[in-house]
Amino acid sequence: MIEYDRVSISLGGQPVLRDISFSIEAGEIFCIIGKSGVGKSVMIKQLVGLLRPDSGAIRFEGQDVCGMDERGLMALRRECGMVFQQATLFDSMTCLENVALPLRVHYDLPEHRAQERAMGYLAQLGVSHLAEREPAALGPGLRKLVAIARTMTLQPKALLFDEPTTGLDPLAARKFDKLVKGPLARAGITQVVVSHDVRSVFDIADRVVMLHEGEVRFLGTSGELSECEDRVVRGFIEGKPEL
Amino acid sequence: MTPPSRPKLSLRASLFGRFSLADTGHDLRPLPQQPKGPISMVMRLGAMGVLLGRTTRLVFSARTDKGDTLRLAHKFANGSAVFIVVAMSFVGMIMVYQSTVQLNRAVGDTQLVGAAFLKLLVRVLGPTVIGMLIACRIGAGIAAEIAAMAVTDQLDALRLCAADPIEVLMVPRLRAGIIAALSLVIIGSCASALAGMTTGVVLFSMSPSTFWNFELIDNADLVQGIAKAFVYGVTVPIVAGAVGLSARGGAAGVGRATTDAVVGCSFAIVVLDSLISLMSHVVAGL
Ligand SMILES: Nc1ncnc2c1ncn2[C@@H]1O[C@H](COP(=O)(O)OP(=O)(O)OP(=O)(O)O)[C@@H](O)[C@H]1O
Ligand SMILES: [Mg+2]
Repeated sequence: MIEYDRVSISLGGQPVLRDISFSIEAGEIFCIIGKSGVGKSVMIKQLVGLLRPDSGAIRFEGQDVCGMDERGLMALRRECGMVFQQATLFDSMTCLENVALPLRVHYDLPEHRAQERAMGYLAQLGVSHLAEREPAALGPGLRKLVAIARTMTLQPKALLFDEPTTGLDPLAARKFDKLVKGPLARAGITQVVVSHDVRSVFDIADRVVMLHEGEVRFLGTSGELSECEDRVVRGFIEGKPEL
Repeated sequence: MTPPSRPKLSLRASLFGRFSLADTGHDLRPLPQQPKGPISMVMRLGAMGVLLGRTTRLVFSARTDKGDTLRLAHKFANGSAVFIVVAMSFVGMIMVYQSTVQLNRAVGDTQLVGAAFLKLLVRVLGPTVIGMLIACRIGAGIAAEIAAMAVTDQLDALRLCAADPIEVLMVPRLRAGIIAALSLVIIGSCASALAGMTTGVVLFSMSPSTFWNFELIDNADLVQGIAKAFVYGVTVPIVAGAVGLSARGGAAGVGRATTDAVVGCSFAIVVLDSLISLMSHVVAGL
């Protein structure tokens, strides 16, 4: 469903990713791990056209994302939602208005109908009590849940999560894992999760890719990951820095 | 790791570089070297032209609700009304006081002070001085708000809601800017005229009916005044929006964008004022 084909990109004169190739099947839960600054966020931003690779191709359901014009990207972003690392909400709106925005823009729903539907998504994530709060007054964990609700409103076929559990308390993090494995997986949504949380990765991932110094260091199922003998991979999952 | 060779930048990217606001979010990376001086000026102007084109195209087709436009127009106009009324009253007082004093010395006849002042007010003073004030208040506000969204990824988030930032942010601001500029120019000019008249009556014992002399004002003056107000109503949101959308680099970036917007808007207004005056002189001989 999603295919990275020899993707390279450099940012600010520094090469970030080099010759990355792998593909993600429909309905799969796919995790991307790797050290900070290795380019995980860059990886998924390219998929929704927020950054364009220098060379190579990225295909979503067979269509090349890199060649898309604006209209194509708009359509793509309806199918493929993303939750940012910093859980970016619009400060000038309440949480409920934030979640209602895509509905209002897309389905041309009047405000009160959009808000009714938005409320449903907030309730699904257990944060309906935050509806009237300003995002600026919330901590990162709660903001993330609201941002996830906003992404779900467009009922995408694929969801990209950039470090969803970072900043969440352990309970909320496990609740997120449950959401990913439960309702979202049952709905057949392909999920790409960038994560530092090794426990959550083993818990949810069907397959995992590990990036290291701009290249793919490991690609396989989570079972294979736990048995991987590679020095760098072991170091990462056991939390032992190489000296 | 050998760096991959840098691809050739698209024409648009090389033309507009980081000012590529035409953006789908593509090619937002800074150019390897930021151009400086006149080239950067031209690029900025180009980017503003692109933004103007895209916003105008969407003004008629945008699906955003009207509520946004009215709310913003109310905010812009209401927020600046007192400031502009007070400032323009002072401008009126100073103008009438100085011209009466000078005319008294030079000609000894102050019959036409009111008429000349009103004509000047309608053609230049009203739209242009108020345009500058609007650039400070509304321009800085728009630039700061949009720049803050740009540096915190909120624009990307908008794009990911499959919403076009230009449609959602710029269209209502353009509409609201026009409404606010027109109404503020009318209110501010009236305040200035009243303050000028009061000065004439109180300090120089003119009769209000002598001052209130519209003979010198013809339709062309009114058209020019309204045209200027309209053009500034378009210019301020576009210039400020362009600067805001291309902001990068945290709080410092927001600060830079705000300063740039005030400077850019005021400068644009002065230039446009001359252009419109020149054009009406050439076209209609006025
Ligand atoms: N817009 C940009 N312009 C220039 N350089 C960038 C840009 N975005 C990312 N980078 C650089 O690309 C590299 C990878 O960044 P990225 O955010 O993808 O890392 P990450 O793997 O997501 O790390 P983290 O775990 O901290 O989120 C970093 O060195 C960063 O400085
Ligand atoms: Mg990241």
